[in-house]
Amino acid sequence: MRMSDIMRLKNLKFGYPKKEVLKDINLTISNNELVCLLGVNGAGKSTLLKSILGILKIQSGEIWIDAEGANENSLKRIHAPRKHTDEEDDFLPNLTTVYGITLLLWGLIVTAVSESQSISSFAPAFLGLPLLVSGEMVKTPEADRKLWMYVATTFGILGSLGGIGFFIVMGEGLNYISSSMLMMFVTGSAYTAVCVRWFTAAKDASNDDNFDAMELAQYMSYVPQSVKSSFSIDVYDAIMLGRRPYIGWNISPMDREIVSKTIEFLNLEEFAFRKLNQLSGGERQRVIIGKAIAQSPRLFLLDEPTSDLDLKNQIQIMKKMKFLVSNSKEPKSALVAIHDINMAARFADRILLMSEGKIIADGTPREVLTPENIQKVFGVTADVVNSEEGDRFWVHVRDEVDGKTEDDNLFLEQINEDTEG
Amino acid sequence: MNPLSRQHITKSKNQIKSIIILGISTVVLALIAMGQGPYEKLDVFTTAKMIFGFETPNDVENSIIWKLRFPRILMAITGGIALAIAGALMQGCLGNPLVSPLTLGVASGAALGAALAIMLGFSVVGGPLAIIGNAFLFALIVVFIIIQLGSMHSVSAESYILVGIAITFIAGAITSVLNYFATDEQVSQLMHWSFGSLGRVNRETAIFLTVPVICLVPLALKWSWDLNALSVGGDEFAISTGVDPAGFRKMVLVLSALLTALVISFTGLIGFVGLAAPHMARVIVGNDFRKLIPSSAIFGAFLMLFADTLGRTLFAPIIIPVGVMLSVIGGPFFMYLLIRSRRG
Repeated sequence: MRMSDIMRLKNLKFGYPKKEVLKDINLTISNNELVCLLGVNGAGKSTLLKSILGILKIQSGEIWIDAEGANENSLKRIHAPRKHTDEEDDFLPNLTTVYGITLLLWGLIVTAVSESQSISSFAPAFLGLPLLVSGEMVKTPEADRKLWMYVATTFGILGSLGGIGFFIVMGEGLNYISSSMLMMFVTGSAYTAVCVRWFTAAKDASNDDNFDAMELAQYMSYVPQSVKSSFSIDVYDAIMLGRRPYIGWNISPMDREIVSKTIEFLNLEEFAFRKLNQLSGGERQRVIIGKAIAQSPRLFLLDEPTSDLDLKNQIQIMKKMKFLVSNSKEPKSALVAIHDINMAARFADRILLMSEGKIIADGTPREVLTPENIQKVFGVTADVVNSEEGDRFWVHVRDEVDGKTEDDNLFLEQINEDTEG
Repeated sequence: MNPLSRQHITKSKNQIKSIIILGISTVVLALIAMGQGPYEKLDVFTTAKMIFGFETPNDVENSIIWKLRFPRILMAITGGIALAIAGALMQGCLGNPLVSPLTLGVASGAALGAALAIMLGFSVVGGPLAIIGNAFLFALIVVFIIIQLGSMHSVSAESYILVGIAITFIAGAITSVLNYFATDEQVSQLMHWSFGSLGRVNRETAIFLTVPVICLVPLALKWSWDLNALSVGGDEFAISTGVDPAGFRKMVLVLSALLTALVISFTGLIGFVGLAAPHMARVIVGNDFRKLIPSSAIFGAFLMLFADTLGRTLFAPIIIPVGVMLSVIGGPFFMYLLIRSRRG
């Protein structure tokens, strides 16, 4: 592996139960390289980008990224399957179990302290037992860990308040105020105790090479094909979201400057303070690209970044990306899934042709975009036309698809008949 | 400094100003509300002086203000804050403007708990807290089942809403069955519980409720960046910004369920404020959660206070429950705001 590599994929595989999408992808991306991914619909271009980011969980294979940009030792593996220790699996309860324990304790305490010991005061224990049993049968999902950190912290605070409160009112004997204080104390401490044990176990088991999502977002940024927006914010604030991985809560003057500069870089000034949902599709796409740039990642993952743009903006965006990738002070690279073959020919340093989940050609645009390769991947006949100076070339598609004009005519006739009849 | 940065700062300063103005008007409203009641009407300045300790009230005023009106007003403010924040959180993390804090079945769970306590005497805590404690517990159990089922099916926001609706119907059916076999007195007791009123609070419960709400609110604020990413761009966008949507959504749902269950187990069903307050706040500060959460909280408190004070004074000595009053005055106001914001 060369010093200047930014990412390496080894034997990457991804698929759905009935369809293999990525078959054995091996790929190395170097620093300051704009790589274009070409291929027909369903070839696996978007899937590849999504698995690198971690939106889709790869089935096997390795993804290594160079976080510091220093040397081979700084390569780190991401999205590796989590290592589970036996101890962790044994001990870690899930939401259900914690709920069960709490209810059980609650029931016991209420029964112990309440003046009229009826069956109803033992009710929580009845609820708690089945929960406890069912909790043991479900495995802990990763997310529960984080969730309970927050909930348990809150209950920890509540528990200590309850404890203090109990000591204050203890003199009055056991009435319903003191027993609820005691309840708060016990519930709170139970949650906190479970939580503390949880984290010591989780810490031992965590894989040091794994980045958390926030670190990863500092390293790579992704532009999805479409953004589903249910609520809308100002364009400026949307681009500010690119700074999210660096921001605690407050926006620093530097973050603000970066966002302002990004807006100027992409000529978005005129709608910087308009709402995102008031923009046209192309304008919105440029804003999302702006967010990716403001993120100042080392690797851009762009999924058809020019699909909604007009001719001028297509060229402009690709030019700016090319500029960023080749001239940035710290090394940057981009992996761009794109359909426009001539755009790729003009701006890519390197082109990957994908077909049925495999990379079948890899090289400079001139090496890859040959009439034979295009015929093989896209099923169209094409010529490669050189410019007069010979520094650029175009791919000219001669006939689109091998025509079935008779079928088409038949279809039209049938439709006409149906509508007349 | 870059002119764009300056413009951004000016804009957020203006928004913060309007939040502060809103906050001040809520405090003023609280003081006005404190002066209203059957005993005697006190003007704002007198109440302010008494509350902030510049004037020693006589014994009667003292007990009226601190024992009768203060708990009610504290409860209105805390309840409004909690419900509004829960609503904002849920709308944001499920990416759906129609969601309210009661969408995930908190209400149906609480109603079931209350029905069990009233009709079967089956309660987790004895004594005066029987109905409240049971409502709280069952609200959490139902929400918890929904969250587990929703995340089992898939991680998408829609699955939570769908499972929520399904479970709501089941819990509602059980409550109806209980209703069917109950005596008239029990049915009316449950009806009264479900109206949503602040009449049941005393000083202890109001303070008991305020503590956890104060503990949980900073957490909501801490999450505002992630909520921005999730509500503006959806799951994939959020991932590329460093947010794990599935885990995050679960945390947010649990928090908002906790906030909602805490309030409605004391007050009965109050849903409208959680739906409307975030939308009202959106008209003023937009969808940036760093400002949306505080301003919806203030709007929630304001709405609850206003509705409760009106309910107390309009047909005095008859008190109209705050839940009813909220819908009566809040509904038209909400529609007015929506129509206005569409035009603007």
